[in-house]
Formats: sequence, C-alpha cells, structure tokens
Amino acid sequence: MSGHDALVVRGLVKRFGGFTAVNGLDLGVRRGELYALLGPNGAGKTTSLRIVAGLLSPDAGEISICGVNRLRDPVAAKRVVAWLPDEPMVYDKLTPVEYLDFVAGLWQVEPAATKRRRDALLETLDLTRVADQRCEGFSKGMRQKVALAGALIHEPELLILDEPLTGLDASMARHVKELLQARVATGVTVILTTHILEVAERLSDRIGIIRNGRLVCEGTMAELRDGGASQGSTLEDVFLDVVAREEAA
Amino acid sequence: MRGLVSGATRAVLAHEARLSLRGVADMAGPKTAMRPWRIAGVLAVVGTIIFGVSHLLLMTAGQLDPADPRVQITLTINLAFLFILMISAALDSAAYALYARGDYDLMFSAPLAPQTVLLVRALNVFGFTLAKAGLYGAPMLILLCVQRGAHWLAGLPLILALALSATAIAIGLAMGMVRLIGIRSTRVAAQVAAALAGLLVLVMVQWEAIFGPGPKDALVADYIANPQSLGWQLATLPARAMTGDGVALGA
Repeated sequence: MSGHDALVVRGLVKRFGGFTAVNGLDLGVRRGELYALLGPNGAGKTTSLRIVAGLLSPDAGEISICGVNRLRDPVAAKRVVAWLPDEPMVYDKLTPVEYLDFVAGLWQVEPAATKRRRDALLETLDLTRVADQRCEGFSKGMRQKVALAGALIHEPELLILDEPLTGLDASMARHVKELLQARVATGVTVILTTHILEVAERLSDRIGIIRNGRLVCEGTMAELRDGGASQGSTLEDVFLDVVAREEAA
Repeated sequence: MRGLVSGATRAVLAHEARLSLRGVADMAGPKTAMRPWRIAGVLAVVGTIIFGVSHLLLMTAGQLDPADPRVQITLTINLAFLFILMISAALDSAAYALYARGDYDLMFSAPLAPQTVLLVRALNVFGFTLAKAGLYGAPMLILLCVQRGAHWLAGLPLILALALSATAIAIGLAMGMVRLIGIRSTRVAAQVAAALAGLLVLVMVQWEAIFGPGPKDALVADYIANPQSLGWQLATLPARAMTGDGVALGA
C-alpha cells in the first residue's frame, strides 16, 4: 500500500446477509484531490465510504488512510478523517458554538485553536448570528452547515462527504463548493458522493463510477470522455453510458 | 479523573452530562431570563412534596424494628416496586441513549474506541436512573436517618446497587426489544411501562387500603415459618441490607 495517497482501498467486500453491497472495490485517491464517487442508487457508494470512515467493518479488503492502516489502527486513522453523512445529526439542545467545541474535544483540538477555527468557520458559513442559539429551530440547510463546520474543525486531511449539497439553497451550495475547493487548494483531500452530476463535473479532479459494489470506471472528465463517449458529452452522458454498458454486460 | 480518562472521553462524559441536564432543565419550560429561578422553584416544589409524603408515610409506619418480619416484608414490597420503577425509567433512557439519539455517525467516526462511547452511554443511563431513584428515595432515607437512626444510611449504597442492577437489566431489555419490535415501539413500550410503574407506586403507598391486611399477613406468616429458605433469603436481601445487615449489604 502506498503511504503517499490519501486513500488506498484494495479488494473491499461488505455483505449484509446474502446481499453483497461492496464487491471487491479497489480505489485510490491522491492527496489534495477532490474525488467524486458516483453511482446509481444502491451501488455501494455510501457503504464503501462508511467503511472507510470507520463506521462499518468490512468482510474483506485493506484500507490505508494517509499511510495508516484503517483496520489495524482505526483510532489513528480516524484522527485524520472527517465524515459527513447525507442527513447529519446536530444536537437540538446545543448551540453551534457548543457543538463545534464538543466535536473539537472529540478530536482533542487545543482550546485556543478550537476558538480560532470555530470563529472562522462560523463566519465562513454565515452562522455567526445564530452561533449562540440552540440548533432546535434550525432549518435542514442550517443544520447541514453546522455539521459541515463540525467536520472541518479538526482540519482533517481526508474529508468524506455523502451528498453534501442536499438541503442547501443555491447561494449556500455555491458557498460550500467554494469552501471545499479552498480546502483542496490547501492540500486537503475531499471525497464526495452526489447525484448532482454537474457539481461533480465542475468540482472534481477525478471521478469514479461504482456499480454493484465495484469501481467500473475512473478518471478525469477528459479521460472518461476518451473512454468511449463523444467529445463534448457531459458527465451525465458518460455516467448513463457507463451504467447502460454495465447493465448490458 | 484527568489522569484516568483521555481528553476525548472527558469530552463525551461532559457532553452526556450537559445534554441530560439540559433535558431536565427543559422540563421547567421555555428558555427565558427567568428560567434558572423557575428550575429552582420546580425543584423546591417537587422536593417539598416528596419530603411531605415521605414524612406522612413515616408517621404512620410505627416503630420499624429491623428484626420485625413485618417490617422486612413491607420493605421488601416497597423496594420491589421501587426497583420496577427504576427499570422502567432506565428502559426509556437506554432506548433513547443507545438507539434514538442518532449521533453514532459522529461518535464512531471520532478517534475513540467504540467501547468508550457505549460505556459513557451506559453511565449516562445509570446516572439518570440513580438521580430519579434518589429524588424519590433520598427524602425518605434522610427522614429515616434523622428520626429513626443512622443505620438507615445503609439505604444509600442499596439504592446505588439497585440503580446499577436496574440499568443493566434495562440495557439488556432495550437491546432485546429493539431487535424484536424496533426502536420506536421500544420507546413507546418503555413509556407505557413507566406510566404503569407510576401507578404501581400508588399501589405501593395504598397497599393495605387496596388489598387489605390479608396478602401481607400471609407473606409475613410464610416468612416467619421459613426465614432461611432460599427464596426468602434472596427476596429479603435488599430489605435486610437497608436495615443495616452488613452481610446483606455486602452481597
């Protein structure tokens, strides 16, 4: 396994009873890369990423996160990862400030750094005016922003986001995209899943398409087009073409 | 404490305590500038009522000689009701803390051993159960100590042990029930059980008025006839512990 890549997955398998959700997945994501993992519903995207984040145990396979073996040393691997699910939970009874302080405490961020990063994130995500209000009255979009701030407060090297733009209005979605790109520019690796293919096309350095728990296609947008799709085709065209070919095979 | 647990574990412990306290404080009404006073007022009223009821019960209780089999049986019945109340309270708390809060993605993606998270959750359930039992039981124990002798202090570690046992049973029950009937139904069942347990407390207080002296007399007679039987030895263990039997308290 390469210690230089942000994520290396080899032969990952996950079964739920008789159903194989992830079927020998191989995946490599370089440091400082924004990688979009796409696939039809039930392809195994979320399951794969939940395994990487340490929320599920695989039945087989190897995972290395920034050179740390995730299965042998899960706590060390988790120190450099942040996971943001599609419907993140924030505590109703806490304010954004309290939530961020708590999450920073979980990752043992120093108090001075916590305060600095917290204030910056609240400002960036336009949460300052509600920073001391309890989250119980927040909209889904605001909760999403609080959770995103929580995912960033320990400055992870690998940020895994499952449908991060769900529930955000257009302006905030753009804001979040800019925030992710800014993080990538500083060397953070971002892996995201999305059903909004335009977002994946515009944001990501590389795209992987997964189906039936296996990676069936991977590359930059240009490489994906070279793989058989006509020039000028969109990611949607490529995606539908790949899925149709896989179904026919 | 600092030396015993890691910073992340301390963060989880403090977090659990804060959520629990906020939950209790929210029962006093919406968050306003008057809230601290309102919370103090509610606690004072509840405390006064429980002290008053405990005092009235104690006035009608007679001598309470620990060697009296009738006292042992009365205590056994009361402690059995209290234990059921503890289990029902702990069951809802366990179902919520272990299954319904929905923050496992955050907790298990953090650099903590999963066992730590689950242990802190279990401690939270235990703390809640103990606090509730203490709220109902401590006034009676304080009055017993002041009016009838310091040996009644043995009731404090007994409540601790009962709360610990109730927590273990409730967590086991919650895990089994969630597997069988799901999270939502488990919580509904737990809340119904808590309401029924509340009724049981009324039954406990009004035992003689409802059932007459007959059932208790029969139990006392059987206990007097077979005090060393395994059944009675086990059943009266908490009562004997509470009345200062060192061996029973140790057990």
